Amino acid sequence: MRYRYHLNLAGFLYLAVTLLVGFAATIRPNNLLVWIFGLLLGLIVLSGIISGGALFRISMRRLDPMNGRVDRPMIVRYAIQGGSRFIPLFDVRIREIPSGQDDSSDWTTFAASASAWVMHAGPGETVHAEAVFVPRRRGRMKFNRLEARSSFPFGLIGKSVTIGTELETLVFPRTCRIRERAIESLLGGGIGGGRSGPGTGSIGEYAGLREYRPGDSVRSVAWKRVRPDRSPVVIQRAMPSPPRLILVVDLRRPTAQLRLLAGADHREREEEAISFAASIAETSINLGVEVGLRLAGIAMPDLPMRGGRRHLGRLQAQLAAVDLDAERLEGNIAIPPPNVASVVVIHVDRVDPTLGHHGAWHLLPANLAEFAQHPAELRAWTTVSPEASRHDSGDAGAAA
Amino acid sequence: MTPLSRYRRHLRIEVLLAVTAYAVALQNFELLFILGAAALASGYVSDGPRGRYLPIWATTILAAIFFGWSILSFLGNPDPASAMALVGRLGCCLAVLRLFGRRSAREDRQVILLSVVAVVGACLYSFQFLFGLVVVVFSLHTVQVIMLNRLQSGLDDARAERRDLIADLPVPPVEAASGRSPIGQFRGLVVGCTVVACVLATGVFLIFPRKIDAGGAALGSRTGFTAEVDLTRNDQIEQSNREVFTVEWADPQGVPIQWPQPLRLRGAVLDRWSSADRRWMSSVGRRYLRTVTTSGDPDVFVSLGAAEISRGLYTQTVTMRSLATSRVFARWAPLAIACDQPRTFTIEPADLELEDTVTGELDRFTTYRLLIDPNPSPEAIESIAGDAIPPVRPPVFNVPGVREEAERILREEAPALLEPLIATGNGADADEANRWRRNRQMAEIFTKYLRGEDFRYTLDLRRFVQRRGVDPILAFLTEYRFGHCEYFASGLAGLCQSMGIECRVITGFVAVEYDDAIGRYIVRESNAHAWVEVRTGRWSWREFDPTSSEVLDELQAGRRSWADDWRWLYDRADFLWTSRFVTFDGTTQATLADRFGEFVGSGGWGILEDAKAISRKVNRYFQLGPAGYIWLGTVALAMGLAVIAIVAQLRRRRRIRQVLHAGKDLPNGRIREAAFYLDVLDAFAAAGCAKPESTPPMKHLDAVLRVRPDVAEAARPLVEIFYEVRFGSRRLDASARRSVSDSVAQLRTMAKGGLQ
Repeated sequence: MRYRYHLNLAGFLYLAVTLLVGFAATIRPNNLLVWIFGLLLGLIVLSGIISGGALFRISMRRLDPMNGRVDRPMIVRYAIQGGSRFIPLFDVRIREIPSGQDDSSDWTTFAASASAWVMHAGPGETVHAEAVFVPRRRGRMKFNRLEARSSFPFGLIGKSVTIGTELETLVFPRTCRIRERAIESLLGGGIGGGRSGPGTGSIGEYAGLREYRPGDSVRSVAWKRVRPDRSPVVIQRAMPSPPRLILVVDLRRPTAQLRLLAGADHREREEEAISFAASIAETSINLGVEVGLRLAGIAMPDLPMRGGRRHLGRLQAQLAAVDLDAERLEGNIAIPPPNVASVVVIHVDRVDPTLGHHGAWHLLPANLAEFAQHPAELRAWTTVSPEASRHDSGDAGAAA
Repeated sequence: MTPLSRYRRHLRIEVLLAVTAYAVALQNFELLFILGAAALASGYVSDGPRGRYLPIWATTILAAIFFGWSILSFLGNPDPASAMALVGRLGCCLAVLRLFGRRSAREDRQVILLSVVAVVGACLYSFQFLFGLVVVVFSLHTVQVIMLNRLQSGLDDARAERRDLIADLPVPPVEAASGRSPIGQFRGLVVGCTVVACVLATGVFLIFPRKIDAGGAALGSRTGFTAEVDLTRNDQIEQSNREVFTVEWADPQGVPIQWPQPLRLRGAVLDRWSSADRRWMSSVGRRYLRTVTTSGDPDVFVSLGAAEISRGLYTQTVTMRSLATSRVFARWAPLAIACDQPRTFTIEPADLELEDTVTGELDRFTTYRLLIDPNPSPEAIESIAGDAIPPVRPPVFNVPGVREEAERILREEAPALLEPLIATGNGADADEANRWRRNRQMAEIFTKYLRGEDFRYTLDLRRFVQRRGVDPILAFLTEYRFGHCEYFASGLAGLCQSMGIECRVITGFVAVEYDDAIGRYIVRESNAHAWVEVRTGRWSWREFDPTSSEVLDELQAGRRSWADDWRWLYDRADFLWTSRFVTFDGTTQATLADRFGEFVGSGGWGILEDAKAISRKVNRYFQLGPAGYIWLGTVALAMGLAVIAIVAQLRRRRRIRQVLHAGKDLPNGRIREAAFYLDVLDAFAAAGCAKPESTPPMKHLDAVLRVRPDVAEAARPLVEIFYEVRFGSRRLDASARRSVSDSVAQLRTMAKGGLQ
């Protein structure tokens, strides 16, 4: 914990006014001016005492913000507790301090921020304040130190307290909503369908009989049927089976070796590919599709096909954690056959049909504009420009 | 509800206080009405529900107009002394103008700064009590407004930061994180800051280096008594109605009466004009000073030198109110003096000037009495003066031009007086009598001339420009022909002395306001006056007042109003303000330091002595007599006990609230009814079973049962009653309260082991 005093511009102006009044009181026999001069001096002393006393032994705790998303406000909450027994806290600004080291994961390289503001906290009382960050890129964002600063009550002398408390959070890639028709096309047969699952019970269509296993409900036993060995059988029902999609992001080629036109930003194209994948994953899961993820060229585990928001979070976290500076791996990855799931491969520069089976979709970042529900929104993206992207790669992408 | 809810209102009050302070200091009440009304209107126009603001171009143009107005005012009267007044006025105007503009905390800081500039500028022009009061209130209010402004500034900064963020989704607005009761704690902090700042300011005030004897200079331009006539000032003199003392004028039978003419009470006698210093002074080298000491009995008169005091004299009784001076104000001619304090007075036999130069300034409640002979015989004066009056000789008055002016006046009014006196042959006495008569005639002509239409009485001397090499008396007589009583008296004295007539300028008070209800004259600072005494005989002097009698009539006519009945309240405070604050100078500082040193050296005995002195004063004020000390002691004891009881009661109530976890919503009546529970807890503690805070009362009773079953059984009904009162809304009537009180008493006795 580090305490510091600051004399700001208002303090200098105040000091100048005080000296002027003191000068006037010296040359004029006016006791009222002398008293005002004393009052001004007294306020300077008070300003230091109160701002210092209020922040003395202040306790600050950052509450885990879980994750953020590119270009979306990320709320970071803090729990502030005044350490003074008598002096309440007023007008305290809480802000994150850069680590000061050349660290690419420091939050300052990620986001613009608006600090938190505490109007009041009584002695020993805990209040919660929130700061807002707007991340500008995807990745692991680190918070390092916290600073509480206050120049209350008179704004003359500021006091700041800095404490070190590290926290790492993920910034998910930027996403846009994909057209439902496009998702249907990717799935190759519309959204819907069913499959026989292992579940039993009274819900769902009749699918068949199977032997009784310990744990099966008594209500699912088919009392009119028995096995030859007289053991009971249970009714197996068909569960709704959502369509499945496997997203493959082709990152096998190192950034510097991407086959893009001169002048193109290679790293941006890679980020666009990741955003494209995240957008498809998000829209698909929202439509009830089970989505799996394979990252070709990156040593990260495959994510199985699942649905639900929790799985979406895992997908996005996986995409957020992709380190494009890491060493790329050669060779293909295992892709399930077409009867298991639809496959969408997103390439960065050129389509490579060897990745994925014959029915797989091969897309480029330039295709995002065709898939997006509101293509106009893409113009606001700082990195994505569909026209430029298409022009950079010289490849319009290929369908299955 | 947050502290910021009333921020705008406080800012408006701040500007109003600044405008009021400026208007009071500069006596510019038109500005107060205009700007005050505008500031109030801004509360509805700009800060009200409609929220209409002046556009920036309009505020800019108006600001430029105000600035130009100030520049033109300065060019119209390029007096550096009035520059700060113009700056203050500009500050007031701009601050009010700012209230009508769209503004953030930053612009509000400008409003505060402009207000402070206006008040600091006004401080250079006034020291009166009312102004001081407004300034003190303004200063303390400024502390609060600055703190509110800091809060608003923090909120504005947080909002601005959020506004600057660009995101796909709207950024959530700032929510002011706040704990419990922010307003109460903010007020507490404001009060704490204000008190500490005032203490620090007073500390700086006490130790700030000052000039010795600067108290008089600090008073600045204000009507009032001074022991010299200084004609170097050319500012506007402020009319002060502060009551300085009262005078009872009793006839030889002792009946208070009103004198047919205004009572001129002499304070200082000045007989020499110093052209270099431009002021009237007393002649140096007084060799005949005598001292008389009063006994402390106001009925025992001490002769001022007269061989015998006849019975047919008037009695003048002066009771000091709010004037810190050592001078004795007496009508011509005082023959004996008495005082209610043992004091030593010095008398100058030549001019009967009285002063307490030994004991110091007369206190607030001092009363002195004088036996006055309004028409003293030459023998009486001779018996007092003795050899003090020097032989008749022409005075020295070396101001070129004044004699020519005097001769011009005489040539126009009475040319015969310019001709040299011719010896009548009837002896030296007859020639001397002719000379005295001629002197008196000249003085009458000069007085009549100065009272004429060519001369104008005014307290505003800002147009009386003092020029190097031009004597102010000559400038008054020949050029400006306006001024206040000191100029008129100086003009008359100058004319007379230039013609060789022996005369002197008298400063003091003229008592014109007679209060029939109390049979006394009320003398105020505005009654301070100057006139001339011309020697009209070897042992006789005659008063000549060149100031128009209409001025005195105005003083008397405009004085009484219903407000004057309550003026004594204001006057007391005004007196304290002037004597303790305005005139606090290096001498007072040294005295204070000495007293502090004595206190430290005496180890606190000084406080005892001070207490004794205060008790003596109070005793004397209420005229309680020797038994009064017993009464005072009884009252002090009762007050001390009352303070102890109140503090104990407050502490007990606070403890009850803590024990009951009662908020402010629980009325005091309920608290009082449940207070017996505190005694129950004390009884538990006395029995060795103190209740932990976290344990409920009934559960604790089980714990007590294991240790002291008798106490627990006795306490059980009380605890049940406590539950009913605290949580069951049961109200205890008088009999129930008595029963509970008896039970608690028994429980306490039992807990201490006294009852089984």
